[in-house]
Amino acid sequence: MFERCFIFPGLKSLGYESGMSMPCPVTRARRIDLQISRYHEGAVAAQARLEIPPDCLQFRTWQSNWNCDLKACGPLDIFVARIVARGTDEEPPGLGELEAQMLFRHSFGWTSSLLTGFVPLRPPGYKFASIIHTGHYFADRSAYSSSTIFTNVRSPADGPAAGRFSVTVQSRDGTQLGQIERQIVANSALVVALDDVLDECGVGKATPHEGFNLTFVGGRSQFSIMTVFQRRDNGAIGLEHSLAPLYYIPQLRDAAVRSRVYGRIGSKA
Amino acid sequence: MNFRGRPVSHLPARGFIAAAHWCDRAATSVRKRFPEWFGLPVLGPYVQLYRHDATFDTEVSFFNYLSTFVPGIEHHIDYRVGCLDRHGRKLGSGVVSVGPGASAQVPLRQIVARELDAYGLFHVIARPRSNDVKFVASIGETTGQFMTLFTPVGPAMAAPQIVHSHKAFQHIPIFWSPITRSPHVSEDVSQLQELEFYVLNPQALRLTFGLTVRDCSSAAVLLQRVVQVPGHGVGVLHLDQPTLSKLTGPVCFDYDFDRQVSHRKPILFRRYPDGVVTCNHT
Repeated sequence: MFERCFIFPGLKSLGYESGMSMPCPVTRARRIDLQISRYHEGAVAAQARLEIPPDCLQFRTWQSNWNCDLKACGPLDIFVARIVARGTDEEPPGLGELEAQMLFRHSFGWTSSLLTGFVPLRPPGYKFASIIHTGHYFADRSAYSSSTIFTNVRSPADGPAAGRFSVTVQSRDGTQLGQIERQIVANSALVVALDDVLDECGVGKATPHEGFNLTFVGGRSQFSIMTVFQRRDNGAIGLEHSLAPLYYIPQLRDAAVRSRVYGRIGSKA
Repeated sequence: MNFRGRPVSHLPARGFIAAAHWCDRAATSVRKRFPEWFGLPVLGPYVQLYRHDATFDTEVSFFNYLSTFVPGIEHHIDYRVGCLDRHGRKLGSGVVSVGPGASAQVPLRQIVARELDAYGLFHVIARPRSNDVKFVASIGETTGQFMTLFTPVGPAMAAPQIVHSHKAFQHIPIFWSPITRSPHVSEDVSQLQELEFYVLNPQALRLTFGLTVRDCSSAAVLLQRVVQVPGHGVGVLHLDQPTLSKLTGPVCFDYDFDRQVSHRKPILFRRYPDGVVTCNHT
């Protein structure tokens, strides 16, 4: 059966508790649960099954509601939520397009959120295409940190390694400043902090560049990508999900166009 | 009365939208066939909110997406930006050019070289040029996506807030064709000092927008507000602390639009008592 899940990272390292909110009308006339798994270092460390009230408009829950205290989590833990029919371990049919809101709450009460779609949960052995993402928006480095967070999910039967990213750093004018690699652990989060990447590339904080492009290519998993800015003085954040290549080239839905584009990327990578 | 599952009253609006899409498709076909003469086919322009007030200023970030997704060819992209005030009046326009592999993050007021209104909308369309236009045209229309950053100013204790854009700026008027959207979001308003909804009207006629706030558990209606938004303008609904204090528990929303505009995702700003502000599209 085709299954979907909603994946979101723990942001413990930024001082935030995670949660999610999803619409309930899809669940009307059915008894449905929300199953949330916490993955620690790629393996399921905890699981909870929450009953969705049949008549609510929106079901909103925080990790403390599923017995997942922030202190018990690792910095790269992720959460994977699935909708399952009550009494079974199957996704009920006919749910249609699904999207949900990932929530992040600071201990001072500030909340940030992202509205995004469920992603497909691929069967073991599925061959994933490399992802391509360019981070071109950054905040003033003296006052804010900038990080790109890659959350991935795939079948644990495919092993713990989910490939690697090459991260190419360019200045605003396109001059290449360096390239590094990052290993990706399956069912985990990868936090790529701009400051760390620049240090590794030998581009010191004093280097007078007005900004950077970070282009990520690689990976063998289903990813959810977001960029987070965090104030260095009080910890407030701003975040947004990335835009998949389909947003830039809508005809990637066409297999012939997809093959032509990815063939060119592969030959130049 | 319905026609093919749609209200008959929506036919003028839908017909007009379909005609506009037909014109776009025809232009795309011509551009795909003769990119050397008419330029590469692109979708857009796309629309987004700007703020230029006591809390936020606005920067826009562009990059050469063709260098990323179609490497090995030299591409240049001109991003054409137009800016309007809250009433939909044109303020100015400008161009941001990015060369091969390049990007640019520029304050909006610098792009249009004009003082901005406190808030309003702007629109962006990419005009790419390439050394191999036949290959780029063969992959169909591309879209110059951009990121909008609301950067805090003055005493605001926020981090820069980021929103993406992929809703079309509509040059055409959209006729009366009411639609209700229930966004898949909920909000806990218990700690908020203020909640603001910025409603973008991407088309040429005045839009009436209705906000209904409901209790997430019982679906009971807690609050209703209406705002009129001029064509190509922006309307704001402010819910202040005394209003929010009457709302209990997480709340959900219904949006009523009196015409089927392309942008049905108002931008929401939450303000906390200590000055932190967060934002996302709904």
